[in-house]
Amino acid sequence: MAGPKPSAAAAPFFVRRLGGKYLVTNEWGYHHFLSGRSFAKLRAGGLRPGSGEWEELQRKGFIGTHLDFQGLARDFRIKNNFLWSGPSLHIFVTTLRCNHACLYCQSSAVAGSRRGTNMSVKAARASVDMMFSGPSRNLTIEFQGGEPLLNWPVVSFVVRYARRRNESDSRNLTLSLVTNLTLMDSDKLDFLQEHEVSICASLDGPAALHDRNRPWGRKSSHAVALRWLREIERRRLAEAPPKRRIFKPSTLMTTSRYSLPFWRQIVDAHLDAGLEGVFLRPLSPIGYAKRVWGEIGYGAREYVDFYRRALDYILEINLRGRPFVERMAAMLAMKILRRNDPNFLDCRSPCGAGIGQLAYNYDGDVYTCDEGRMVAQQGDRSFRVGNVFTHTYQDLAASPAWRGCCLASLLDAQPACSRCAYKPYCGVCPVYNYEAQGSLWGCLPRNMHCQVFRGIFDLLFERLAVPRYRGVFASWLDRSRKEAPQ
Amino acid sequence: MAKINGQSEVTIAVGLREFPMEVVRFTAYLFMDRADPLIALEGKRRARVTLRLRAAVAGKRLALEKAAFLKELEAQRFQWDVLRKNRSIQEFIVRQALQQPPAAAPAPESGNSDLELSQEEERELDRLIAEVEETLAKEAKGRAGKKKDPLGIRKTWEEAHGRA
Repeated sequence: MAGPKPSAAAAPFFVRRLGGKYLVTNEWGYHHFLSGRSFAKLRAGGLRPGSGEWEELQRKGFIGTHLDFQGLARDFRIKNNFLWSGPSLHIFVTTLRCNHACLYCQSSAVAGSRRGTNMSVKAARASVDMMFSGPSRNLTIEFQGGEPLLNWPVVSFVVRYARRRNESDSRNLTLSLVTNLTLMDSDKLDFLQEHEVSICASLDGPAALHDRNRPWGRKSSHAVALRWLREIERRRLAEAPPKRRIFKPSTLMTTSRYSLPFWRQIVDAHLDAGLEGVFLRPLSPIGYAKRVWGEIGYGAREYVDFYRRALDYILEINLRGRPFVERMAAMLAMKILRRNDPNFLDCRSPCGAGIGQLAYNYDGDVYTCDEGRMVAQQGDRSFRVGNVFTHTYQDLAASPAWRGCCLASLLDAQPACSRCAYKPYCGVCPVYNYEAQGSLWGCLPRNMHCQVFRGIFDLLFERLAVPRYRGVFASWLDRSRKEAPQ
Repeated sequence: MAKINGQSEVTIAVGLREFPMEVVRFTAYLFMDRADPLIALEGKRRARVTLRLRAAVAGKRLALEKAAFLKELEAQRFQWDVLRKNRSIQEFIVRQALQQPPAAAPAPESGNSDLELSQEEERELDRLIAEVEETLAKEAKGRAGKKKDPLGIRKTWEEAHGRA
C-alpha cells in the first residue's frame, strides 16, 4: 500500500520510563520494553536492520522506514471495533428500592416505601423495544437497581419478552442479573436458569467486611449470598450434559475504605466461595457515594497499594497451580496482549457512555450510562439522553449528553492523555470528571480516576515484563476465550 | 534558568527556540497535580513559568520540583517531536482503518419497522403483560392484607428499622 513519506527514524510512539527500562507503545496497541541503549538507537534510527530486536519492533509498527500500513490499519480497526457497533450493554433499573443500606450505595437506592420507583410493565416493554431499535449485533440486558428482585414480575417479563422478541431478530442476546441474592428463592432461580440468565452477586469479602459494607438489619447478607452462590454452582455442576447454558456465578466487589487492609482476606473469601475470580473495583465519588466520601472514600495511592498487594497475591496463587482471575487486570491484559477490546466501557476512547451502553431508569428515562443515572438520582439530569416513550434511538444518539460524553472522553482531545504511554489502553469517565471536578473534561493531572489507572497500568506493565507473570496473564485470556458464549 | 521565589513558588525561564510554546504549555499542565502554573511571555523568545505549589514546601523540595519540571520539559519536547514528524503517517493509517469494512459487519437494522409485531406476537405480548399485571396486583393485595412474612425477608431496611 502506498503511503506518506516514511520517517527516517521511529514511527509514532509513546514512551514511559518504568523499572529501569523504557516502555514504548503505539496507537495500534503494541508495546515493547527497551534498554536505555536500544531506546537511544530507536530514537536515532540506529537499530540494525535484521537484528532480532529490529524485526520485533518492525513487526509492531515502531520502525518508521518499514511500516505495514495495511496491517496496522487492520490492527487499529480491530482494537477500536466498538466504534462501529452501537450500544451493546443495556442496564435496566427495574426498581430503586433496596432491602440493604450499603455504605456506598452508588446506585442511590431509595426507601421501600417509595413503590413509585418500580419500573412498570409498559416502561419495561418500551425499554426492550428501544434496545432492539439500536444497531448492535450483541445485546446484553443487565438488571440493576436498587435490588432488582424487589420487582420480580417486571424482571421476569423483560426476560421473556426480550427472548421472544429476539426469536425474529436473532441478535447475540445475553441477560444478567446483578443482585444481593437475599430475595432469591428456588422458583426464581429455576426461571433464571431456564432462560439462561447469568447471575452476578455482590460480595465484598469475608463476612465481617461484607456485612459492614452492606448492612441488612441484624441478618448476615454475606451468609445468604454465599448459600445461593453455592446453590447456583451446585445446580450447574449437577446438570450434565448441560441442556442449556448455565453460567458460573460471578461477583462484584466494591472497595470501601474499610476494605483496604483486607486485601488478602477478600481474595481468600472469593477462593473459599469457589469463585473463579474477583473484580477489585474502586469506589467512585458519584451519586450518593459523593456525599459520604469523607467517611468511606480514599486516595488513589491507597487504592493502588491495596490493588498491588491483592494482585501480587493472586499471581502467586496462580503460580501455585490454582487458576484465579483478577477481572480488571484480565480486561486490561486483553487490550495490552491481544490488542482487542474486552468491552470494558470505562477504559475506551471515547468511553462507553451512549456508544457502548445505555441505562433505562424505572420511569422510562434513558441515561448515557448507569453512573449518569446515579447523578440524576441526586437531582441533576445532565446525563439524560431521552425517554423510551417520547424519543427514538436516533433522538438519543443525537442528544447533547451523548455527544458531550463522546467528545469529552476522546483521549486525543485530552491534553494529559494525548501523549500518555497508556493512551492505547486507557479511558476517562466524563461522569466522574463532572462529579469530582465540575466539568465533563475535568483536569486529568489532578484526577483520581487517572491516578488510579496510571498506577494500575504501571503495575501491570511491571508484572508483564516478568515472564512467569506474563504467562499467568496469558492463561487468563486463553481461559476467557474458551469460556466465551458462542 | 530557574529561580526560587519564596516558600512555595519557583520560576523557570524557558527559551522558546529550544522549547516550543506548545511543549511549555503541555508540561505546565502536567504539573497541575501539585502546582498552579502561570506562564508569562517575555518578548518573542522567552517564557517565564511560575509554579505555585499547592502546599508550602521547603527550599530543597522546590529545587527538586524545578529539576523535575526541566526533565519533563525535555521528555515532552521529544514526545512532541516524534508525534509531529509522524502525524501524516498516523493520519494515513487511521484513515485506512476508517475506510475498511467492519471486522464483523453488523447487519443494518431496519429501525422502527422491525418493532411492528405480528398479530400472533401481539397476542403473546398481551398475555405476558396480563400475567405480570396480575402478579403485581396480587402482590399489592398481599401488601394490603399484610401478608405473612415471618422471616422478614421482604422488608427493606427502612421498613424494618425506620429511617436512620
